[in-house]
Amino acid sequence: MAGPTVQAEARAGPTPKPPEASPNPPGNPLRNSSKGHSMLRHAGKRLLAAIPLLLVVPLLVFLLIDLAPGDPAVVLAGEDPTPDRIAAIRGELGLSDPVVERYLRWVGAVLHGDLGQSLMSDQSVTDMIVRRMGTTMSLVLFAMVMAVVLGTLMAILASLRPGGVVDRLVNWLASVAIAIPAFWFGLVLASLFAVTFQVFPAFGFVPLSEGLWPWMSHLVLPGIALGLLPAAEVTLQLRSALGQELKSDYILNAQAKGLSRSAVLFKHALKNACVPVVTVLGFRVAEVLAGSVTIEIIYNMPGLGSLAVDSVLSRDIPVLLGFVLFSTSVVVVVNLLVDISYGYFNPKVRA
Amino acid sequence: MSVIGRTRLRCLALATAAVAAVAGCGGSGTDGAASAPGRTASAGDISPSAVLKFTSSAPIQNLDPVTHVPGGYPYLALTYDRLLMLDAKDTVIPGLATEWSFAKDGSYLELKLRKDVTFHDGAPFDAEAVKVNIERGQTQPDSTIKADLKDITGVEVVDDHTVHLKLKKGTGVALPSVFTGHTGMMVSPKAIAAGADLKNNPGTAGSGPYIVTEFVPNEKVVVKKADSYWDPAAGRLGGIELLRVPDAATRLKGVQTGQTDLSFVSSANDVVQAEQLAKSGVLQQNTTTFRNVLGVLLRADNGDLAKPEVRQAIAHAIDPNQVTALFSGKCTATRSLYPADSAWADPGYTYPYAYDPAKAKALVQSVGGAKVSISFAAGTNTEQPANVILAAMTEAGIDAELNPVPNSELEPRFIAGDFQLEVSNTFNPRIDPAGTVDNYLLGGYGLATDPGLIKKTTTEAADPRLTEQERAPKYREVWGKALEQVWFIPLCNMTNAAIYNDKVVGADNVPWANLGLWDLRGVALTK
Repeated sequence: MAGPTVQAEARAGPTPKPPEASPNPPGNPLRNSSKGHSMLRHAGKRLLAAIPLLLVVPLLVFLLIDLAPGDPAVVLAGEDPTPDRIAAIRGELGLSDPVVERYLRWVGAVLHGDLGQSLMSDQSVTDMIVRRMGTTMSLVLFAMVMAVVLGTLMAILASLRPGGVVDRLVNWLASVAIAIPAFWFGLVLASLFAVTFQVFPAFGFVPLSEGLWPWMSHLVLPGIALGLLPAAEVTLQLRSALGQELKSDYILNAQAKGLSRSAVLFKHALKNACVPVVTVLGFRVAEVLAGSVTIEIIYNMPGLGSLAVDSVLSRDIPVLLGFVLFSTSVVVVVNLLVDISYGYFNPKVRA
Repeated sequence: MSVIGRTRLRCLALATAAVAAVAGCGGSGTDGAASAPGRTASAGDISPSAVLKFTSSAPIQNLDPVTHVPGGYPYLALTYDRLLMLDAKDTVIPGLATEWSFAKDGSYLELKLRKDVTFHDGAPFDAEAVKVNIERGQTQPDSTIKADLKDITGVEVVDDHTVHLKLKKGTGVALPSVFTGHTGMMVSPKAIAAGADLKNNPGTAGSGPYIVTEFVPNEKVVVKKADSYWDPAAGRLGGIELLRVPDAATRLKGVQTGQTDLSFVSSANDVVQAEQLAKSGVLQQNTTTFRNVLGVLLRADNGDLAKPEVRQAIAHAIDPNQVTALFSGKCTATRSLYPADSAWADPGYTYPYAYDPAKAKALVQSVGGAKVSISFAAGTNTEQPANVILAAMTEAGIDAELNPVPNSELEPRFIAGDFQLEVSNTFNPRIDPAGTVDNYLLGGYGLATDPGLIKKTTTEAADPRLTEQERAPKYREVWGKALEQVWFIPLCNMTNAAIYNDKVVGADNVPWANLGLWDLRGVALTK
């Protein structure tokens, strides 16, 4: 069964309620319109609440980089790091200005849609992020879809016979999967399926525009490596939630009414059990995004993770800040979608 | 990524601005096709339309030779021809210039140019094109090759195919070797005048065997064969896909699985693995000893290192065999700045500070102890040697401490004077020793903290009017002085392995491989 951490997360979402408790039966346009406005207001509030986060996270990065030893001007000076040359570069890039001033200048530029230019090349940070976004988003999407599909399947299989062999096996497998580091699993998968059996490519990425299979074949190994942990967590979370739901009175009532087992499971129990799972998935997107850094390096995928690592190594601050802003925005949006999804799973939230 | 690969390439990027010079005061070559690697298969076996998939850890930020960082220039060498080239034995050979010689009074370097070369945009390659390119390198504000061209005071077009590079007298001896790198790459004057976006899309601005069709900074460069090319020994492929793969294990997997055709690895573990895979027939490999020397660079005017006894104690305290043992035998012990087979090395030289821990301890005691900080690039292959050196110095009684530094910052900050001592494999003896002196002793790194000791000799030795035989003894004297002063402690030369499949021709003979770089103009694939 789920460990304490997962169970604690299960309580993070709204308490699931049976669909029968809905105060807003479908088919009432007035009420639906009111619900829509309510959700929009809710979403708007959440977005406004995210603004401080979008300001604070880059500020922290600014401060951290400022505190860290080293100087991008020295790196940029390359073979000619004379004091004059370093001072000239610092002046040119405004690196000598107080950190708060540099931060406010960056915020001002971002508000005008300008993320700046890479210190190491003449490229626009926006262009660099857009170009690499496809790789990382493909990888994250694959990993998350795999996590949901595999996790749901495993959880349902386990919950069909609580305490049975399958249940215990699934629980054991999921616990082991949680303990496996993604980078190690990625290396094992590459050794087995790329080097030994040569079923999938050993590294690289091909955009979807070059065909579904080429795109997919480059995502399978890194996607599985990255999606293993969230899949295990979804399994444990959903298994736990399903276990509770299947013992609920309304499920017994539905069974007593003669509803089929699949109707009880999929229409009632699974829908309510999904609320804590969706909450967990919201957290996991941020984790998967972070995990993509190592996976992209192992599989040499030209994504945002490897861009972030390169930018840290070369002290390319504008690129790093662009990456941080983008990742924070993704997490904010995903959490917003999670919030909105509560309305689907739990009509009381809509009210 | 392979830490060795990253370190080496970064260091080489700093170091290879002058892949140094022709022996003596000017050489000359034949007016034939340049000597290129890879002729182990007959012409009939070569597939002219094949596309080579190549991986490397070298970064590539832009495609303009004038603004390019040195370590990434092999990508450009496929697109732009150079005035001169190097073969796999580090000999300067003809390129766009068929002959080169210094004036008897040392006032200019004369280049005789090929007459059959046209840039791919239709502009002719002639003396005027050389003048435009040299002047662009000297004057463009963001040029990274100004230092390479500093000895040139003017460019005189003698006739369509002869050009004189006017020199400050007694200087410029390293120019022929400098022209084998990105400083010698020629861009079409027509493209320059038109303001072409050379950094990102050079198009037909080169005259090289290949034309760039796709470029994604720091990710990949894709080239296709040019319609016509003057050197039949080059451009033998339909195209090349050059991917940047920083991780050496991934590059190894690429060749092992057939996903790629050719790559290089240089960390001891990867070289050993490549050898094992080659033995089992999975791939082909051959190794080259790097010119670079893994060693200790000292700032001899910083803190306790200003005391000669402390520097000598450090030299006595380090056992090179302990360092080489860290690399599974893939770092060949050396006590010399130049490879033994180089004309600039002294075959009879004896290093004055043999491993002697007792003597090291006595020297430290004689000055009442010392405190030294050991800087190294964190997470690279110098980490373990730095620890061995720390232990040796501690045993000698020196209060030593480690100072790990981000890899990208170590060399620039050492050059800037931020560190007392660094363990690094950045020391890259240039083919012409004048470049070594300029970069490591008197200029650049500035290791010669008492320049008066070598200044007179190095000035005399850099005179382009002298022959190699006249220059060599002077440089041997300089190396002896540098090692005697313990400005640098040489320890070992690492190993680079080319890994490739059995269709690749010429991979065992790639110029620059001993720098951790590569010149693929002569590589081919069989049918």
